[in-house]
Amino acid sequence: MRDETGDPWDGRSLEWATASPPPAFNFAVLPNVGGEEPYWQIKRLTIERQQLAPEPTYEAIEVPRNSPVGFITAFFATITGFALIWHIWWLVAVGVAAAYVVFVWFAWRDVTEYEIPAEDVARIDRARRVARQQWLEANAPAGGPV
Amino acid sequence: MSATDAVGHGHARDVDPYLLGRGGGHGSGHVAATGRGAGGPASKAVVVAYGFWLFLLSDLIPFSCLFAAHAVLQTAIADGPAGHELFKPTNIAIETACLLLSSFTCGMSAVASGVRNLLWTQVALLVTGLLGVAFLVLEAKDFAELVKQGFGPQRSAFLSSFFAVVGCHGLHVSAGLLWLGTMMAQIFVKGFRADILRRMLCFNLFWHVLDIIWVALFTIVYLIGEGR
Repeated sequence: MRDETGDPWDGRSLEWATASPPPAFNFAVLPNVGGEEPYWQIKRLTIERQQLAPEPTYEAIEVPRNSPVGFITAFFATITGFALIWHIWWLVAVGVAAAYVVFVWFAWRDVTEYEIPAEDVARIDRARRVARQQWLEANAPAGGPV
Repeated sequence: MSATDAVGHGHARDVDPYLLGRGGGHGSGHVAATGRGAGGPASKAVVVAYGFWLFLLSDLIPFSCLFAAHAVLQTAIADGPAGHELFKPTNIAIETACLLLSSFTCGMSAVASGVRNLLWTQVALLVTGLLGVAFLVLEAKDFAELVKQGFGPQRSAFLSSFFAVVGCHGLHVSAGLLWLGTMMAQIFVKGFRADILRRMLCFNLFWHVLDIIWVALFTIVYLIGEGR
């Protein structure tokens, strides 16, 4: 029952047009939207023609870098909250100061994004296309072209 | 009825009446955008500012709860002092003037960074910060005096909600001042980089929203409170 296509319920809208779980870049290419149910249109066309849309030109995609800052700040915020409840004033000061230091450290970063190379985008999206292709063949109308 | 007609007029269903499509242009940025996706994906500055507005709106929700609580509890003075016996209109007028002026100078810093003038950006930010500090000092003195007189947050429900809503705004101003100091340092060290300018935009939004909250606070806590 494991779903490889990212579209287990035959969805109509674009969130189903990528793999599940989605890759870091979410969508390999920006879809050209022509209506309110774009993925449905794409799939209807695919089934009519019994072939996937031609492979798009993959380009490198910039995505935000992962960061532990949210977790660390939440840790010090918890410390601060605990200290406030129990009136441990020095610990309040420590918690707030530490959270501020983490904030400044985060603000000082120079590189905020990294690039996923076009080859990686292509490799990941081709795997999804293979799964879609298998789905298409498995669900081909009897006697129809495959 | 007429609105539906206006949108749907002359379009078949499959012609994309809401212009969800990208209008043929690929990544031409927000310059040509009409707000209906016509110009392609929005620029990063637009996306960042939009996300920050979402944060600001969610930040307003706790404030609205505190305002509602204060409106209800304003007369619950438990035989203690009422607002008109405690508030000093002169102090509050000076605090308001500080904050409104700081919003003006904050706007000037946005103008100055828009034309990439380092000196005036820093001067405007510094004045904004000093006015913010003046506001906080005055507010802290008011609070300290109230507590010294025995009218702290534990005295009555009115004073609890008063300290909660005014104090919450004061904490926001304090956090804003920390941000402002960091912002000045970033501009000084890193210059007008695109990401620094986006942060400036967010800081401006934050500071103006603090001002908007103060206007509501002034009206509900002090003006209406004075009369009850």
